[in-house]
Amino acid sequence: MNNFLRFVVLIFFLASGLQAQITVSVIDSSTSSNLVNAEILVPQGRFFTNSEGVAEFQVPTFPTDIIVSHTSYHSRQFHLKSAGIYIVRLQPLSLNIPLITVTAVQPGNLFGNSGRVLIDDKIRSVTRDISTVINRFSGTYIKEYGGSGSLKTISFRGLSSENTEVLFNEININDAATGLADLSDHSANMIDILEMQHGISPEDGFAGAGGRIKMTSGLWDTPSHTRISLKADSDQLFSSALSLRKNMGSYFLEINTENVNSPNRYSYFFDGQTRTRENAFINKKQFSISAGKSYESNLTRIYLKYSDKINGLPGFVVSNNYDWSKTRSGSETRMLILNNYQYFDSGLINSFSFSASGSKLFLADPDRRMISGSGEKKTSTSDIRIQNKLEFGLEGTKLSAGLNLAKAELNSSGEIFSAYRSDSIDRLSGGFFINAVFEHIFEKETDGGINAGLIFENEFADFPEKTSVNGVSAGLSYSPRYLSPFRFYTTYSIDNRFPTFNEIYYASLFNHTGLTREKFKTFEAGISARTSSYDLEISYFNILGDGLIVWTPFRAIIQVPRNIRTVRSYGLEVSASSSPFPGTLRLGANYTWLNAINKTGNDNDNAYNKRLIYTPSHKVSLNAELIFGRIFTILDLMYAGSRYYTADNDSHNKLKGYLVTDFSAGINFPLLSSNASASLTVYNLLNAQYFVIQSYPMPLRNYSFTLNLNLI
Amino acid sequence: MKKLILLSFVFVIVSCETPVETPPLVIPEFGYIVVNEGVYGQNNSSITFYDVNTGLATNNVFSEANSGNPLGDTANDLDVFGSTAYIAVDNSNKIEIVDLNTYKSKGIIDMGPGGSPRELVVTSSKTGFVTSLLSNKVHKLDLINKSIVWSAETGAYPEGITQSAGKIFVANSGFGASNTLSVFDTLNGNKISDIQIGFNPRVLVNRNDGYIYAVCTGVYDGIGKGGVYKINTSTLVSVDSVLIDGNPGEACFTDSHLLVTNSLGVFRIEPDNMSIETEAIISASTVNPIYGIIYALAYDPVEKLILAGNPKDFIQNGEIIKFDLNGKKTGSFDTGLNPGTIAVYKKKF
Repeated sequence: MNNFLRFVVLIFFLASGLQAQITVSVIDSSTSSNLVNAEILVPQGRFFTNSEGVAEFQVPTFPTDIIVSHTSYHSRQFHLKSAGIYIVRLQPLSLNIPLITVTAVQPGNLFGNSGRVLIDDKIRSVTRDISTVINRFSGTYIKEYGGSGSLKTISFRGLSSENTEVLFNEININDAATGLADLSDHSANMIDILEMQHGISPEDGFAGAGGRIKMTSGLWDTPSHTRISLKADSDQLFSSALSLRKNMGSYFLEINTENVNSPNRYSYFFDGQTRTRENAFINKKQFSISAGKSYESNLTRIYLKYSDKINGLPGFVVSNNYDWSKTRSGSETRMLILNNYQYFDSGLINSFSFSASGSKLFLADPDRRMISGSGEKKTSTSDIRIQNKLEFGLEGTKLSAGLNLAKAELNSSGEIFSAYRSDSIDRLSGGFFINAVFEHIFEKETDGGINAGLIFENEFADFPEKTSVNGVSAGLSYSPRYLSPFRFYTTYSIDNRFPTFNEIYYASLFNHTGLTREKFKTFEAGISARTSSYDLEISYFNILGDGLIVWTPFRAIIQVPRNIRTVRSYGLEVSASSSPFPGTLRLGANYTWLNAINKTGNDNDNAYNKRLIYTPSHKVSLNAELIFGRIFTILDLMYAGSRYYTADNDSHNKLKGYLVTDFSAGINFPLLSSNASASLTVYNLLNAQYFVIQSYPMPLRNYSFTLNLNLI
Repeated sequence: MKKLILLSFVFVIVSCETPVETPPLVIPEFGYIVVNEGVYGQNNSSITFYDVNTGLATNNVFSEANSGNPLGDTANDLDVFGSTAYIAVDNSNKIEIVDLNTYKSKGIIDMGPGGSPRELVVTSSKTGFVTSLLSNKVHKLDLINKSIVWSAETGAYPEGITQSAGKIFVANSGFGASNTLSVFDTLNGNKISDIQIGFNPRVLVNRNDGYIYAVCTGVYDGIGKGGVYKINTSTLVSVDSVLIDGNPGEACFTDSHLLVTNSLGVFRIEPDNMSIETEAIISASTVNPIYGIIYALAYDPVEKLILAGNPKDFIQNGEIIKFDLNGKKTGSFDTGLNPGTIAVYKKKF
């Protein structure tokens, strides 16, 4: 460890550099008028144009990426190689002008809370996967089991992770069998943008009550680059990543690859002693290639990904049993995604996506503690999806309609105790939505404008029975000029979730059939403000979930899912960020107050009106980024309150609240023919001893060193 | 100081949490000892003691007597000899030895990685036998030296165990795939015989009448046809049986009958001719309205009461419900999570 630190410290003492000034003037491309309050997003923060449509800010290094956006205009992304003055023309949504360049990024959500993060080298330095970034959003809580390769799933507003839709390049990647998306599979090295939508929005269809996470890779406007990233940590993790991008006129080709290996024998504290976690290793290889074309009014991208992962499942840690499991699991996944965006002269936009994916999974349990019989289980899944969305913008109105179809198949072999199952099951599912967003600008200028949105959707599935359900979402958003920059919004939504393959499959054991969909009613109201000096969002939510599927323990660790639960989840989310010294200091804070309550049964049931398990009442996230010349430092604090792990909230079955502090320091410097950055991150700086999930201890203090090279 | 400055807001939240209350410890004279399994993998097994004289139930008696240390994970069985209890704590790979005068631990028998002690029988102050679920073994234990005397191979996933006529009988459940009892010599562990019965034998009941009664739960399909098999402990032959649907499980003897649970409730069997009554004396939904699962069964010969364990929804504290011999409910008391074993205990002065 001492040698490791010494090596890292040497890298830090390099020459500092000077900040560079950028001036951006944003103009309406049709009228040539200045656009006031246009947003310019850079890695260091967010800036807004003034009354003359101009924004000035500084950046520490080049090249740097910026995204320019404004309500009712198409966004644009640029790659700047030097300081200077830039004029950006934005096209109104309703105009019919060819030769546009549009990214897959949306400027914001009119009717709710949302967040977006550009994944840059700093984020890649301080994170092992994107779950760290997601955990900084309000409303979210990452459930994890310890260490680099452990399963990490999101719980949003107290709901289970099956209720959060996870998209990759517009395609839903929630596992068909489990409904989960393992966030540890997604490295920051393989992603360009991460967006989080809180709850359901009347602007877009098919999101769940648990919101939506959207990851994008292979943007059209990314500049050519060669980027190498090397990471090593104190748990003997070593990872290497390579990103190659070549732009050839209107075409691009991008290759990303990453290799991660770690025995992951991290230190933890239990039963009065510091111990070493066994069988938590991870070996992961990922390779992706994306190719695209942007030409006149058409954008096309094809994305291929292969990943191969093997990891240990260390099992729980309990009294007198610290090395519980020698089980290994593995997956091999192939995915193809095709995206196409067509912009017509009439103002119509058509977005089409197609995906095909297949996964093979195995579980090997030599001690047969998790799997009986041969101690091995293999399954495979395949999935084909088609989705299409039409958008049309008139003055003050945006209309859209979308549909999707998905065919998923699960092949499972092997015994499940004595219920011999070798079934192959498949399901056709899909749906459509129609949506309208209206804008009305009041005659009196100070009254500002109001937006109203309405979406109706229908979803169907043909397994286990043919089922069709409807959902609806309505919202209002009001932005009075006399209260500028505040925007007020409210939404009400009705949404459903179909059971996953696993829920259907295991419900049929022990004759428990008839599993149906979960239903949610969500109300949300909030205030948001975005200025050149701060962002603020405060929202109140109230969700009623009915028929929630709960895996109920049965004999000998068998669990059977049932629609037994009614849940009320309500609370407050507060997000604030500020760049008091733009380009130098950026501060962020998120707070969530959550009350996720079981409403099943009556006062005679000890679980009635009690908190759902593993839902903290309070979660606070604070982060600060300080840039001085070539040096940057990042401080992250996250506090999660106490959580119960039994339904009756017995005080004996309660996990204490915990505070995790991560600190990073790094430096940008030229190295041979590259722009390099080196950083040291200390995770769990204060050596907190904590559990996120009972019996799965989290790592004590550990360190990571990252070197990023951008070849010029 | 830095921590205080940065975390002043957090401290406000933390200070709002309420402290844990500590119940008083009860020294038992006569009552019921309930071993609560806890939830698998959560390290929250516990012991409840119900004082018959006062009608008070005290939970977490083990951890309260042992400086807050937990009993362990998935405590599955208990046997009492004298004033000492021996508790098989499956996932903690140990047998906890407890002084029933104080509930303090007298030490453990460490079964080692994968030891998974499932069910046990104590035959003297020095000797006990335990099945090891995941290693497919039965062990003879030296309870004084806290060590293993011998180990023998059983069938797959052994569960129930009992001793009779100088032999150890082990039920090989196979998690539904096996259908044998293995019989061993108590002295040297040599296997004497395998007796074929119904599928998924899990529970063995012994009233020292020359027979043991093996409850076979059957396969976990929609029907769950199992049964009870009467085994002559001298000839090692199944002399009689009765088939029962609904995955029969827990069992115990009253003064005159064998009681067996299934998905419908508690049924009475006449052991002499193995005839079963057509109607349950206690319906399963009376015990557990949520799932109709009776998790434990015992009989108090002093109060003439049938005791049934109600796990509720398996993720909250359960209860024991008391019934008279006609199946009429007479009372209940709260327990810890998943009450799986009930022992009637009377302190000898």
